[in-house]
Formats: sequence, structure tokens, C-alpha cells
Amino acid sequence: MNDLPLNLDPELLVAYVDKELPPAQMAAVEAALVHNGAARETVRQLRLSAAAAAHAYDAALNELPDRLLLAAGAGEPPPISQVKLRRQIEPRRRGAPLRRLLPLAATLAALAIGLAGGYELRARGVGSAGPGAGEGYAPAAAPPTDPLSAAFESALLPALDDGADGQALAYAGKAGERGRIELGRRFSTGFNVQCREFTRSESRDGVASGAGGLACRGADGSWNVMLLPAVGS
Amino acid sequence: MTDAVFERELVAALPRLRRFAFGLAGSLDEADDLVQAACERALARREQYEPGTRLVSWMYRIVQTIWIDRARRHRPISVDPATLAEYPGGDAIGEAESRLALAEVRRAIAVLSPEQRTVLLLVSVEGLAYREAAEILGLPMGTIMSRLARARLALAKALQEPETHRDLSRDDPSGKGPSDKGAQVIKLR
Repeated sequence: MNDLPLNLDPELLVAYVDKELPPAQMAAVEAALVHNGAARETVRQLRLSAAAAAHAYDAALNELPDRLLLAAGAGEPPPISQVKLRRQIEPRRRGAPLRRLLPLAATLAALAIGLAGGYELRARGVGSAGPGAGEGYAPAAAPPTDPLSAAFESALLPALDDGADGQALAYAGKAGERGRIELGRRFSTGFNVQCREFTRSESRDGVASGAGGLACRGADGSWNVMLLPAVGS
Repeated sequence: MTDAVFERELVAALPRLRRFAFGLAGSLDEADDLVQAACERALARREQYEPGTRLVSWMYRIVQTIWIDRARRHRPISVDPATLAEYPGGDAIGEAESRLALAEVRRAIAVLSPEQRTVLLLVSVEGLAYREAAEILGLPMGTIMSRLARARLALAKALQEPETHRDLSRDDPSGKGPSDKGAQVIKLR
């Protein structure tokens, strides 16, 4: 540690404020500031402007215009329902609140028809090249190609096991799209299959949509997820 | 890196690129023009991207280059603060105050020199380390630090002395003319 007084010029002080100095220098500056009121004032100005600038342009982060998504190669977002859903499956009763979505009969019908063709969420160490890769989730069907659907999976999977009834989870895509899951009850079917209901609402490009969901465990412990778009959506 | 992964990362980078472009250009419309052009150039020059480096850093550089090129070719680099966009917020009063305050900040940044503004945006808005900003701009660290320090001090000064730095001939959203805001201009989150 040298004994020469530090020259507390703005270049050094901005690096100090931004924590860009190595620890020994940070400590040296801090010690020198004790005796230098003018430099302390400069530090205050540097902190003030950093804080002011940090969020000044946040408006740009919301609602990306379509032309940018297209220019970046995103193309059209895929349809919300990822599932190969048979339309014979009873949609929710008209007028029924979304949270009481699936009468048991429809649930069992969905199981019988839909399980094999459902959308699998599986916790796995090695993933495919889809967005879930590296996070341990490997959808058995076509992996979601958009960030919102990937976020939906990441939010849903752990919650199916651990979430409480009625618990709500929010998730978001990269371009301001949002979604919300509301967890429903767990139950076992006559085939002793463990299931859990949930609802999902999403907003993409300002367009809201709702779906009822059902997740059931397969024999290997993976979750099969089915989405039933709400009537009229 | 496959095309699909490249495009996915490009899409993921869009909000940050748009924010950076907004800071450079001064309006969201111009920002979108810049970012769109940058995406087109990135896809056309895909082979120039070095795998293993951060795609977003490469894109920041492309955005900045296009901005400089356009400014040189079309008009002197200047920003019309009257076109700065506003954005929806929370409660009405708090929203109006923070809208005004942030618009004030954007105006103050808009009158910095392009060199100072660019460094300020990359470090203090985009949150990059000095080293990253230096690499993107192809400048030595010392230049980054001195431009940044000057930008931050100029900004602080402008924010604390609003009367001397505000152009009263421009539209004033509060409709009240200069007010004595003292040091309380900024509502910091």
C-alpha cells in the first residue's frame, strides 16, 4: 500500500462508484474519500446520474413491435395450445368460471383420449436443443419455439409437485408477453393416475386467451400436460 | 451455433438493443428503424459472428455502427426531445412525476456528445462492464472511463440545474414552465 495521496480524479471515482476497481484500490479510494469533501461530492453526483440513467429508457423494453420480431427471424408465434388436442373433448361449460374448469367426466375422458397424445413435461438432465435445454426440461412433443411457452413450462413443472391449491404463478416471455397459471386440485383417477388441474391465461400482443389445463403423471413420473382452450377463444 | 439458436438469441436480445437504440436515436420509431436494420445486417453477415462470444455484444456494435453511418450521411447527430416517447406506469400522480423525471433525464442525455452518450448508454443503461464497452466500441479502457465520467458529471449537473439546461422553446409537458425543483428532480426506484 503506497503512502502517496491518491489523485481522486473523476475517472478514478467513476470506476470506484461502478465497482470497477480491484479490491485494494477500492479500499484505497474509500480511505482517501474520508478526507476529501469535494471528491465525496463528485461521488454523489456520479451515483445520482447512474441511478437516473439506469431506467430512463425502460419504455423500449415493453411490447416489441412485430417488425422487429420478424426482422430477427421470429416469424409468427405458434398457437397457444401446444397439445394435439382432440376437439371431441368437452370444453368448459359455457358460463362456468374458469377455475372450476373440468368436470370429472371430462377429466376422465381427457385422460382416456388425450394422455397418449399429450404434451410431456419431463425433468431430465440432458435436454434437446429446444428452449428448455440446459434447464432440465425436455418436452416430448415439439419443443416450444417461443419464449413464452418455454417460460410456461418452466413455471408449471415444479409447481405441479410443490404448489398449493389456488396458488398463482406469473411468467413472461422476452417481448413483454405474459402468462398466469392458477393451480387447481390434485386428484387420482380410477386408473390411479395422479393428476392436477390448472388454468392458464396469456396475453400476447395485447390479445388475451384462456385455457384449462390438466396434467397427469405417466408411469415414469413425467407429467403429461393437456390444454383445453376456453370456449370462444 | 444453429440458425435456430442464433435467431432465438437475436430475438432475446431485442429489448436491450431497442433500449440502447432509443438512447442513441432519441425516439422509439428511430430506434426500431435502427434495430431492424441491425437485425437485417446481422442475418446477412451471420458468418462474421464469432461463436463463443456474446451475440448481444456483437449486436450492440452493429446498432451503434449503423447509427453513426446514418447520422453522418443524413444529418448532424441531434435529437429532438419533443419526440421522446412516454410509457404507461402505475398510479396516476406517481406516474406523471416519474414520466416527467425520466423524460428530463432523456433530454439531458440527448444533449451529450455522441461519444459520451454512447458510453453512458452501454455502461449505465445497458449495464455492461467497462471492459465489454471498450471491446464493443474498440476503445481503450481509459477512454471509456474518461468519457463516462464526463457524461455522468454533465448529466448530474443538468439534472440539478434544470432552468439553465432546459430549452424553454420546446414543448413543456407540464405546461407550467420552469419550476424550482432543486435537487428533487428524480424519483429514484
